[in-house]
Amino acid sequence: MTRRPTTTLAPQARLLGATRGALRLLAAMGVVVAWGGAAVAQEAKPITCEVAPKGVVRCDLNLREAFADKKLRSRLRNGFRHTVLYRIYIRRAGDDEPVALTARRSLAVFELWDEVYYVTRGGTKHTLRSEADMITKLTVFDDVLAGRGLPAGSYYADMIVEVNPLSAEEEAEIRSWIARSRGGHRTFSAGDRSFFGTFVSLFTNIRPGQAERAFRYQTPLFTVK
Amino acid sequence: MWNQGGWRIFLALALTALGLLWGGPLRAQPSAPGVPEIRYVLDSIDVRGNDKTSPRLIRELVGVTVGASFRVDQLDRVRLRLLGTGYFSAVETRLIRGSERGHVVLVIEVEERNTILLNDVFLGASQRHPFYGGVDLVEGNFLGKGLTMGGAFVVGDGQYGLQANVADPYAFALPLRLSALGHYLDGEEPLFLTSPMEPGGQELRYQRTGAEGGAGLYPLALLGVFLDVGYEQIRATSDRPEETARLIHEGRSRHGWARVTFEHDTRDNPLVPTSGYRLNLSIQGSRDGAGSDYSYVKTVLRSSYHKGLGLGAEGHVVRFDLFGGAVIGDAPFFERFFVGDVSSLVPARALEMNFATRASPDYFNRGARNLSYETLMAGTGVEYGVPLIQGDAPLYRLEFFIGAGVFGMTTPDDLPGSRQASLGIDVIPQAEPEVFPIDLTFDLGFRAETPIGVFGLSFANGLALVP
Repeated sequence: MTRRPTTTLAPQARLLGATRGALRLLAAMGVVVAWGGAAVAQEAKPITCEVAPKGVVRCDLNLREAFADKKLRSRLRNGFRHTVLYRIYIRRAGDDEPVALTARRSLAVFELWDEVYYVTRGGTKHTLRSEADMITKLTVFDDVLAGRGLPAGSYYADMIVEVNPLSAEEEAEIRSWIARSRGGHRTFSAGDRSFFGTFVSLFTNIRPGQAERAFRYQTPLFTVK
Repeated sequence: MWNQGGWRIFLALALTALGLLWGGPLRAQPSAPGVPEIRYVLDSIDVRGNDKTSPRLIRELVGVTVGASFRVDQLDRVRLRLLGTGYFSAVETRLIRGSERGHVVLVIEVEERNTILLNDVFLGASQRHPFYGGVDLVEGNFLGKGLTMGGAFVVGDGQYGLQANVADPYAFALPLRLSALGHYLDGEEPLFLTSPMEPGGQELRYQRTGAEGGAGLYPLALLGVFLDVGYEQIRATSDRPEETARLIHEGRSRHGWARVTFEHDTRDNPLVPTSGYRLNLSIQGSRDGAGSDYSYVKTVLRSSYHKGLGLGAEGHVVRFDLFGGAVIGDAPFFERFFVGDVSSLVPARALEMNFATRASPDYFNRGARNLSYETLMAGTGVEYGVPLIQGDAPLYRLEFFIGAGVFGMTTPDDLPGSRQASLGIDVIPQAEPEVFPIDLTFDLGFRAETPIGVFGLSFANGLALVP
């Protein structure tokens, strides 16, 4: 695909990688982990965006580094189906308001007897023999249209990648399991006292809304003219 | 008695609360790409790490039968389903090759967790009880069979209550919850009379011995339908039976009832929710002659809505509460709405027993200080939670919260401001007893969500310790 670059963005400055809860915490605290300098100058950046005319923003993604974790790779080989959800927000500088959102989803499953990976990406199925090929297929995207028709101003791209995120239906089902364990359908009785909470209440060790893994990357500011 | 503008005030509050409920998070909705379909035959399920939990229970929760063919995506949620039981702190799953081509073994490795939990703590002091206290304990995985077994007690000066319960949250491996509960309560309520000629220190003593059974069905993931039935023997002795006859039958009586509850719950977290809503409607009835000496219908509607404020105020949560209820007929007093059930400034009942004597503050001077057991109630509240810490275990969330609400209660055929006798709360006759009692409630404090429970320390908790 031919690009029409007018501005090439500087290397990315921020990397966050943790569970969604930790992401929220870090985001709330405004923690920024600097990632740059000569030591990593040769590595591919997780997200690189370019601004084209008419307020178009295109991004290249390379998440190999994030998927280098041995435990994650082992999970991808466990015979279960895995989903990777990518979301790229273009946010306005200053108020962080998202003005564009692009989402992609890929699926991967390892077939135990043929020892091949089936990866579905963009509606196309791929059969891959090696783990490296599977990781590449899951993590490298070129020329992703992240926004168009953006008015002039300063923006940055905010990418969130989730491995096995919970869908709204799955979250709902988990909540019903938890509710069943508690049996908390009564109101105005023990277990649902008054309106402002109980002194001590029952726990839950699973919190819906979490993905197995989540990564977050942000670009530096760029300008749409 | 819904007069003096009481209805209009509540309608305005309800509309205000509803008006604030709209809006939703920006959510990506990518189109689902094609799914590679892989099928295997399940040779066996190999469960590891389960010292206590029955392997049979774990296999039932998998939802795929050994020897049967299945699609790989049928197992997508096995790990989460096992974690959702609360029996395990960690679950890992994988498939390995089975006895022949196309066959597999499902390996499930679990780490069991402590399942004995403190469900509730009762702690307080009042003029009647220099100290009262108790606990509600539950074993969430009794004998490793997945049964919930619990017991609770509360004891004060001259009254105590015991309760035991058992439940199977996954009965027959179906979305069905079966439960049973038994109780024995030996209580007393002070009886306050308005006549200056009456001697003080009069009481209503009662003993309740009963049991109840319930079934809960989840026809949809977020919608629960519950049916409970109960029966108890009551023995009541009043110093003024003619004054308490409307509240409980003197001597022995039977109380049989049935209740149906509908619950729609989309909250992200049942303990410290930051988004979603809960709607709960229950209707309970009892009929004289049908295993009961009381005839009444009790309806309660409660809804709560939770909204995170998002960017710029990450983790800040606003919670709204709207509720109302009515009891029609001659329900025993403990089935009516006690002021402590809706006001944070009056200690709540413990195991349906009242230990408090503190009246509602009556900030609006509308006779709310006379409220005790009433047959009509409605109210609304709002609470704001500010996160101080958010993260992973051991402290998922520590928040400071502040909340306030308005509620109203009354009994149309026995107005609080003109009744001659009152249970639990001393009554002062009002010049205008027909004014609809409305009052303010509030609370503020800290709340921590941890892997072993939600701990709160608030103004209302402290107030309950003051006689």
